[in-house]
Amino acid sequence: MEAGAEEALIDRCRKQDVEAFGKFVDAYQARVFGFVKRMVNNADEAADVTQEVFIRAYQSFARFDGRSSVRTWLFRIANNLCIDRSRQLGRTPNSVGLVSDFEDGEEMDFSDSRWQPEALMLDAELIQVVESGIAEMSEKLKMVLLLHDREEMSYEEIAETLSVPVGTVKSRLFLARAHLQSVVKRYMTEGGND
Amino acid sequence: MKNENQLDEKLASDSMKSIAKLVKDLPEEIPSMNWRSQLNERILAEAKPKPKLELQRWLLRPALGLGLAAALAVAFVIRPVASDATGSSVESLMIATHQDDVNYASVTGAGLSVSEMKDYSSPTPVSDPLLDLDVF
Amino acid sequence: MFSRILASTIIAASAATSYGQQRPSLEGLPEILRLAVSRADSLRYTGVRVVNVRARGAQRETVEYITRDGDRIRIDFPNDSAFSGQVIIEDPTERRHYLPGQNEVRVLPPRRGESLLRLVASLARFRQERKVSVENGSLIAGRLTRLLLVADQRGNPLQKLYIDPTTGAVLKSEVYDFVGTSVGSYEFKSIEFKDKIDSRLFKVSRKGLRTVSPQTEANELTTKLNLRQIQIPREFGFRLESARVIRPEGEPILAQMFSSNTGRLTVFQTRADLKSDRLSKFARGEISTRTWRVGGINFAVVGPKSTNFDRVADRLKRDLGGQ
Repeated sequence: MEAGAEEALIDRCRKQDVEAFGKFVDAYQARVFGFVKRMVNNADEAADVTQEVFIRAYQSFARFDGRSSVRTWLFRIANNLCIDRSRQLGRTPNSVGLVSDFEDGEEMDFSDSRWQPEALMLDAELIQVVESGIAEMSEKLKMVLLLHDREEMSYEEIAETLSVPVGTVKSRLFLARAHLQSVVKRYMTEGGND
Repeated sequence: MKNENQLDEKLASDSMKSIAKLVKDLPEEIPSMNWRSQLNERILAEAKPKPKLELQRWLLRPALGLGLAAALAVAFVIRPVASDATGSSVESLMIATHQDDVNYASVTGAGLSVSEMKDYSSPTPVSDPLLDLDVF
Repeated sequence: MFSRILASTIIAASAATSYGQQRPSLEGLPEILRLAVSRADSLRYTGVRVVNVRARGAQRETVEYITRDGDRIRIDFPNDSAFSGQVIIEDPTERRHYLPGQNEVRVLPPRRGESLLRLVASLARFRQERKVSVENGSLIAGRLTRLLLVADQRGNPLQKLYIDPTTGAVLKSEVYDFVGTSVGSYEFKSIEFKDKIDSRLFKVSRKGLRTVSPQTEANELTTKLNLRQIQIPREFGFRLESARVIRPEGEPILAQMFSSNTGRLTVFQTRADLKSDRLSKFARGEISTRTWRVGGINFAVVGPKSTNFDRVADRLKRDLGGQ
C-alpha cells in the first residue's frame, strides 16, 4: 500500500470507520495470521488469536499516535497476545532457548561441501524442515526471526516492539538463524536432499 | 559475539542471508472466509453504539443484577460462547454456501455463478471452441 | 458472518422483484438510476467486462465477452480462460449454458435481471435506512460516468454503480457487505454500442448436444448419496438452479440452490449432525433457517425472511415426512 493511501486509511480507522478497517484487515490478515500461527504452533489457536489482534486494534485505533509505524504497532499487539496466550496455557519453554549451542567468539563452520545456500530451494519437504525448526525455537528467538526475516522490520522497530536493546535483537536473530542453519544442514547431510 | 560489529558481519554473511531468504519464502496462508466473516461480525458488534445509560441503570439494579449474573454464569459454564464460533462446522458451512451463492448472483448477474466457476472450469483451455459450434 | 448475511439479506430478502416480475416503483430515485433501469432492456452493445468476486475464501476473476441485444445476452470467454469455449445465452425465459468439453447445454432459470432490479427493490424497502447520493464517477471503458453510491446510515457503502449518463449502461458495479468489505465487482474494460446485433448469435446448436437440467444432476446426486429427492411445487415459483455436494470433513452435504421472484433459497440435506440453534445463530436472525430430521437425514432450508419462505419450508417438511 502506498504511504499516502495508508495514512488516509489509518485516519479513517482511527475514527472507527468499519469499511476502512476492513481494508486494513485485508492488508494485514495473512501476515498477522502467519506470524501468530508460527508463534503458537496451532492453526485453530492462531485463528482465535489473530481475530483478537484485530479486535484489539479496532478498539484501540483511536489511541494509535503514529509515533511508530502501524505495522510495528499491530505486530506489537500480536506479539503481546501470543505471549499472554502462552502464559495462560503455562507452556514450558521450547527446546531451543536463548542459550545457544555456540559460544561467544566461536566461528561457525559451514564449509561442508553439501552446504550450498544458493542451491536451496523451498520444496515441500524443506518447508516442513524450516517450519519445524522455527516451531522448536524459544518464543524470544522465534519472534525476532519472524519479525525481521519475514516481516522485514528493522532492528530498531523490533527493539521498540519488544522493548529490548538493538544489540539483543541482533544476537537473538543470529541465534535463531544459526539454529535454523543447523537444522537445514542436518537435513541435507542426513539425506533429505539426496 | 565480541561486539555488535562482529554480529553485524555475521548476520550479513551469505549463509545467514540464505537462511533469511528461506524464512522469507515460506508460504503465506490466508485465513478462511469463515474466519473473516466471524471477524467482521465481531467488528460490527464493536461498532454498534453502546447501550444507553438508562438501560445500564436498569440492568444494574441490585436484584436484577444478581439474577443476571447468575444466569450469565450458568450460560457461560454450560455453553462457552467462544467455542460456538468454530469456522468449519456444518452449520457455518451451510450459511456460507448460501451467502456465497446470493452474493455471486448479486454481482455477476448473467455471468458465471459460484458453482459454475467451480464446477465447469476446464483444466486446459479449449483452443478454438467455436469451430465446432454451428453458430451461424 | 453477520456482514455477509446482512449484505445478502439486503439483496435476497428485498428481492421481491426479480426478473420477469413487475418492476418496482422508481419514484423518488435519482434520475441516473431511473435512466439505468428504464434502458436496461433496450441496450445493444458488445463489450469486455472483468468480474471479481470473493467466495469460499478466494478472490476469483473472470473476463467475459458480452453481447447484448435488449433483453437477450450472450457471454463468451477468452481463449486463455479456464472457461474458454463455454457460451451462456440468456433471455427472459431461460439461461442456456453450453459446455463444449461435455457437449452439454445446461438449461437454467434466467438471472440477468437480478442485480439492478434488486437494488431498486432494496431502496424501496429500506428507504429510511439507506443514503443514496450521486457524484461524478471515474472514466470507465473510455466513458465518463456518474457514480451512484448507496450507503447505510453510518455511511458505509453497500453498492456503487458507475453509470454512463448517455446510455444508462451500468459500466461498473461494486457490492459491499455490511462492514464495507468488498463482496465483488464487475467493470467494463471496453464497450461499443450498436444499432443492431445479429440475432443468430443467440442461437447455438451442436450435433449430439445433451441437454442437462439441474434436476437431472440433483437426481443423480441424491441416488448416489442415498438422500431424498426434493421438489418445490411449481406454485411457489422457485426453480432449481444448481445441485452440488459440499463436504466439510466426512459426511457429504448436498446443497440445492433455488431461485424465484422472491429471492434465493438453499435446501441442504446431510447425515452429519446438524444443530438448529447453531444454524440460526450463524444466520444471526437476518435470514430464515429451518431444520428437521427424517430417517437419519438432517434437512435445512436457508433463505430470505418472507412468508413465502415459511410456506416453502412448511411444505417441504410436510412432503418429506418431517415432524
